[in-house]
Amino acid sequence: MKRKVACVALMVMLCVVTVAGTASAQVNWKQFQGTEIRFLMNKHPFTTFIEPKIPDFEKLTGIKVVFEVFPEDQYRNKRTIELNAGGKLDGYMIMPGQDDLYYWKAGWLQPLDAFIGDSKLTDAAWDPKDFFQSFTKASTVDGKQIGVVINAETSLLSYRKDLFDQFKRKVPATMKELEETAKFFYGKEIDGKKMVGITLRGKGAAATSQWVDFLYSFGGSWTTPQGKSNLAGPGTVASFKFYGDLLKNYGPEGGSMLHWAESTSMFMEGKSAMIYDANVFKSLYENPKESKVAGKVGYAVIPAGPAGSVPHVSNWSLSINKNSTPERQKAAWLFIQWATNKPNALGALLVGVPAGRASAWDSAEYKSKDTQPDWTANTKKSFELGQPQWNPPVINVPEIRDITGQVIVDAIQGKDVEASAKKAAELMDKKMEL
Amino acid sequence: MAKKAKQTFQSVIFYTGAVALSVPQVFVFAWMIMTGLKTGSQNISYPPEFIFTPTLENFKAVFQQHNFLYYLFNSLVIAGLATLISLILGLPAAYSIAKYRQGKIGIMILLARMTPFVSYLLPWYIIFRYLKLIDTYTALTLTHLIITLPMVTWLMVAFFESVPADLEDAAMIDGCSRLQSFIRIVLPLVRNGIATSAIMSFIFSWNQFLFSLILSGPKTKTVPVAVYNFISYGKIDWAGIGAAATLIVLPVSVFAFFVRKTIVQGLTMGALKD
Amino acid sequence: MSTALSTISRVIDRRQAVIYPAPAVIVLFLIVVLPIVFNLYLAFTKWTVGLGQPRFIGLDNFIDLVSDERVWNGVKVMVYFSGLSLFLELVLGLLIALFFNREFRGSEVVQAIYIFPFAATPVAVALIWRIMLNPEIGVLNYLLRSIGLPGSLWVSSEQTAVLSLVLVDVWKWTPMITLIVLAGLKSLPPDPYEAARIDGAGTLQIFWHITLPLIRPVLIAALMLRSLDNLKEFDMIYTITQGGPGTASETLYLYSYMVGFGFFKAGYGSALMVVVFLIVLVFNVVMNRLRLSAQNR
Repeated sequence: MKRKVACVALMVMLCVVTVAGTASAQVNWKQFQGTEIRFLMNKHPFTTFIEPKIPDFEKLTGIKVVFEVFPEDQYRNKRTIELNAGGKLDGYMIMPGQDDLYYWKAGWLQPLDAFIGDSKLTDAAWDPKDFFQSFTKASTVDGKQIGVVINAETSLLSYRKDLFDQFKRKVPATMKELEETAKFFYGKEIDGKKMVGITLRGKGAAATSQWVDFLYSFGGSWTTPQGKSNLAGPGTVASFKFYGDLLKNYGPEGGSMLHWAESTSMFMEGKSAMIYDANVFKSLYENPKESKVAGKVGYAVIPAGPAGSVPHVSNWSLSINKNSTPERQKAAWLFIQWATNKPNALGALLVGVPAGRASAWDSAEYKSKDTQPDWTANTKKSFELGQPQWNPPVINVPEIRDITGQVIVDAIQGKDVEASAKKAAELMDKKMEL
Repeated sequence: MAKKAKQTFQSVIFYTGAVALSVPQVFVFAWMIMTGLKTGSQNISYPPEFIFTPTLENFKAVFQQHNFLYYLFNSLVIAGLATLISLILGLPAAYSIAKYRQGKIGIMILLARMTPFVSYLLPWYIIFRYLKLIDTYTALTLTHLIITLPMVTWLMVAFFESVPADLEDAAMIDGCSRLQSFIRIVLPLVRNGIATSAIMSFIFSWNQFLFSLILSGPKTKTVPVAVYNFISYGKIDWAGIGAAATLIVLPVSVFAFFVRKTIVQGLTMGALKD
Repeated sequence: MSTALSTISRVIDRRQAVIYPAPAVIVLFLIVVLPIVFNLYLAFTKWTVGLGQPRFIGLDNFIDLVSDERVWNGVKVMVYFSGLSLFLELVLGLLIALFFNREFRGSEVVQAIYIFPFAATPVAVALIWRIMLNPEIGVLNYLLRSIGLPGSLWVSSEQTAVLSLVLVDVWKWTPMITLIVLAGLKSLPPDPYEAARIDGAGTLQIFWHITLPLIRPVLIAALMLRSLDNLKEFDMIYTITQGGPGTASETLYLYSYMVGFGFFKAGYGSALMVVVFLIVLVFNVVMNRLRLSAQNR
């Protein structure tokens, strides 16, 4: 009996290997053997996931990968300066929504379509259609795809479901309910700690990434159809006011200095009933070594404002340097292809990195190990509802984010929001580069 | 009797004051070490824990996961090279400035010390592009020279000025060349100054953050830049920062303690004899 | 062989005034003067890193910066931060030095404690301060609250952000000033003090009329030494507040870094750096005049 099973197993394996062999027979993984490529990476959960696997890639292809990781604050600086200086840089991580226009104009992004369509370079199993279309679209400039998504982000309302159960609160479905819930929990003493209702990012430019969801949900936008700044538009101003008031009245003290680090720390320390921030932080909240609220967190889509529930979607992608040599570009493409293939996307998802591939989310393995199905369901829902224009549609994104951030800070500090927004709109019109 | 009591009382007051004045310094350092000995979750808890079971896992992680020994090595190499080159170039220059009153060169040195460091970054990066020197010890050492060379030269001018001219004249009457007199007579006289400027140069180079940040790569990353490794996308590892900070700050501080007299003397000399 | 060496030796000797400083001057020229000149050139151009070449625009950057609110804010913050921290460091440094100016057991220990912060890597220590200053979970507020005082918002409030940075700067550098002034005090001549004691002068009078005038050169020198680095303070502010909340702690220097390396506007950023340099220059010139006049007294 055992022998029979072994035979069958062997036959199955042989079949699989042959099939797999034929499928990848077109792509010679060793075609760039001996090449050395250099990737500049942001210190990100995906990076932490993929780095130990690089030797597998090197064995498969014979390509040597130099992998340089930098912390977030300094990463962007370093990357821009290196690209400009023309150093040996073959691939890098980029948030297309933030830098694609700038980098495209500067000539630093290599279109990937030719690589994807080349059967000698791209394995059929890589299956480009498996990626969520909205993210592929977000990584496209002038009709050309310039990045492959590795981390699909959106923001979620994370809340203390244990407290909601205890006090019989339902999950806020509208902005008004959000405010009421925050008000309810603010100041309550629970477990000897004085609670705040909600914590959000408030630190100027950094806060715009979260505030933008409120912008859209209140019917605002970055620009008018005529292309001028809409920072002083009614929907936009309403979002500034609501966001600022929420943080000012029901959030932690010193709201205008809250970055995700302080915000998530508060929530994980158990001092906030709710937090609105990136979905990728689930891996932090649910880690008992770091978080005191592990296992007690529920996840929901952003409550609906007058214009509905419109969270933003953003992503980190891997891109190739246009100024690299053709040979190294193709070698870099092999790396990107490998790093974003189905097994690796699933592996990343299993350690908490929201993958950009539908197959990873739909896989049986993930589903069986998913301990936060509400996070999964609501992340996917947010992907569908999501607005990819999470940054102003300009080249000088950081500068405009900075200008916008000033209004957020003013709103949190209780200053005249209309006046501040008007000033910011004028400044934005003056400074924006298209 | 009363006098003794008064003296003891004054003594108590004094020592209490001395302790009070030392507390702020000691506290921060102690807190730094404690942060490194706690876990991540202990570090964000409130009230802050003063009594806790220490763990060494952060310190271990700093060495194992973050390649810390290599960064220490880089910092050592770059600071050492920068100091050495600054001494070789700066000692003769300072001597000449002191002896021949070459104020114009002195101004160039002052200029170097006044310019904000950020101004150097972009020109430097463009220059390095042509010379293909990014992520090399050469590039980093050169940029650290901006700090160390002016400092060494400026400090040494003061020391050389205090060497009496007659000593050199006497040596030359005896048949020494100027070069010999410089090396055999003058330099030993200012060896305190040399020690001071070497120490100062080393410390400032070791602590240099901005240049190393922008111009280094994995091969040449130095210790201050490495501290930022603990801040990543979605996580700040406070415990790791505590451990790393301790490992960075303690060696230099302990070293400074042992050479404190030299440091103070050098600073005072340099300050007074501008 | 030895004749060759002695020839070289003679040549070096004759041109000592030129050859000795030459290597240093050349190196300094390459690594200091050239970048400064290049920076100056960029200040008159418009250029975003990566997009085209620098375009000469004359004085436009400087005209723009005069009407840039953030520039004036930057200057204001610079004056506030540097003025307050330098003042406190000097006054406290002097007072503490006077306090320790005597023989006592444990002076070594005090010296050790006081030399630590000087050598400590600014970035590392600043990160620790950042944790301690957290208004919700930081240890400083905990200590305040345990003695009945309300916690402060520290760097999270516009009003107290710069004050918090001043606190950190004073913590780090007052010890160095103390040690310098102490060395100065110890080297003061004893005669004026003898004479004053014989005349029956009180402690305060002795301090005001004897100590202070005698120690003034040391104080001014310490101030000049410290101000060179204080006006260019970057690491600490960058690490703790990044210029926030809003722009409440954004010195002009920090703003120039944002513009040059955050927005990558190399032209305008360079113009801002030139202004920072000018401010430092003016301050130094003024201080130098003061020092010379103090010496001539």
